[in-house]
Amino acid sequence: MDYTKFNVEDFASNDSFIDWVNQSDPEAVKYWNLYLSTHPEIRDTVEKARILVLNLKHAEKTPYDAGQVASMWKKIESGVEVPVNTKSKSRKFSYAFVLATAIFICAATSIWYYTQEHNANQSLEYYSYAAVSSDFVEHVNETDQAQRVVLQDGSTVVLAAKSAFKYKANYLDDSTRNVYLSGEAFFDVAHNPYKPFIVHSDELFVKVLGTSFRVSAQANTPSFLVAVKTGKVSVYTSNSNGEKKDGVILLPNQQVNYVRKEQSFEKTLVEMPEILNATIKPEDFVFENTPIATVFKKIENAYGIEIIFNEETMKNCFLTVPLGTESMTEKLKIICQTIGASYEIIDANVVINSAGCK
Amino acid sequence: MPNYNTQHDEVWRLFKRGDKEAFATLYRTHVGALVNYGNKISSDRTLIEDSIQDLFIELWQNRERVSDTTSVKFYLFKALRYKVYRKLKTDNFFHSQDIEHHQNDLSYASHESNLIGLEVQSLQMENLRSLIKQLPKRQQEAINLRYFHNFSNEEVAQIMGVNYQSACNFIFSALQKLKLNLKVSVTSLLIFLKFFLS
Repeated sequence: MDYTKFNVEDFASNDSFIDWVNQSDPEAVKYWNLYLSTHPEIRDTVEKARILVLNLKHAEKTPYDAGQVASMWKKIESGVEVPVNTKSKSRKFSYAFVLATAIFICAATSIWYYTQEHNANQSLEYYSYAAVSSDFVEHVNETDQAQRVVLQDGSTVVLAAKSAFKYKANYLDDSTRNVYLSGEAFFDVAHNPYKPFIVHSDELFVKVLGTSFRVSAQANTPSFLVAVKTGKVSVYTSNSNGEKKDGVILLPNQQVNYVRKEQSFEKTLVEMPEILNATIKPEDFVFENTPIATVFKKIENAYGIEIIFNEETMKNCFLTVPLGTESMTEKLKIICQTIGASYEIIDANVVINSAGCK
Repeated sequence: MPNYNTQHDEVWRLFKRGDKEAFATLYRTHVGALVNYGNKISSDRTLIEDSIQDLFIELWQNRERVSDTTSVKFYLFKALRYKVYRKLKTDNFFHSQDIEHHQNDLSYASHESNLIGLEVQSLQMENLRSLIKQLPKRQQEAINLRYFHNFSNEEVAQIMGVNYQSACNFIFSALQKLKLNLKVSVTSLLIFLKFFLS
């Protein structure tokens, strides 16, 4: 997205920008910090917009009237104490009415039990792998080679050497599909939007609907790694009270390194990003006097990543290089060498540093 | 903020099961914001208080039937606005346009004087408040929802019952008028520099 033409009102009314100002969404914070560090020319406008947002927030503040709040609550409480069916007092009690009430109570009770059970299953409380109790099916791979396990729902797990995972024998009865991992595994999850698939590794949770990804979580290592091949994956931790804490969303070719001691997530690109779009052929990367923006667009689309560069400074850069089957990093290296630029990967984005072309 | 949401989901769940404590928490958590917003859409404080009371009483009575919600706050705001509108329409004393055009200056003034007691008022903030007061009612409402209550543009549209583009237009035209008030103060500039140098 190009924000260089944005004015103060454009920024100040942009959802993601406001999230950055309020520091309320870690994704937005990272995104805008990065964008601003690569686009110094918009800082003046951005600062005006930021102050406008903060001032408006402040201006709308009103005092909290504790007396009013308490007196309102009194009235609510007395309103609640009154029997709900005062209006039906005059109504004749018929057997049908009593029967209907009885049926309703039965249904409500069973729904209540049902939801209770469901909610218990969705608890974010975490267990260390060993502590997960009995009636579990466990797969332990003591060999030196990866093993492939197919689960009841059609999901496959490729379990790395010296790793283990387990799940409840009747895990498909729950509202979420839970598996517990110790070590490393690649998951190819059968799609089911009604039953999210959750991999538990101590305090780390990886939640998906249907996709493929790799989790590396050796119990005694200082950090865990989750890498995504297809689909969208949400990775998060919980605290000891079972409340959801920080998390990140990963897209294909992205991975996150979770440092357990600091409880921090570091999002990067996987080592060897793969082409996500099957229709893209090696010939598509043959460039002849192609504007650099077009080149970057092509790479972005192929690998599903974002390339951040200064369009204005690089508007005179054109590329003539026949690329093809090289890896993504190889391609970027060659492109940068050709136009005298360099690149780095920050927050799973590629950032191009260039002074422009003559 | 995932943590915030999980906690609130839990309160909502308990409330639906009939937990009075959770109901009280729900009230305490949201009543301040609802009063703030209520005073923005009508100048009649009694009307707002009554609406909020009715809202919570009905919420309790219908707790088994209310649907699960991704945002309790969003649900309550939408319900309050609906309630206030209906009351204004049925009450002969008020014209339905009241909500669009008029703002009782008396109640606003009392707010204003309360504020002064609470915090040091900069001249800039006073200017901004008086500029906001001059905006059309619906723009004021949109600004209140977007910047103070931090609803997304889409949520603002849904609460106000207008389409997304109209909500964006309310906010955008309000900003255009308010921008004039903008002066980058020295302190905020310092904060900004610190932010980039760190």
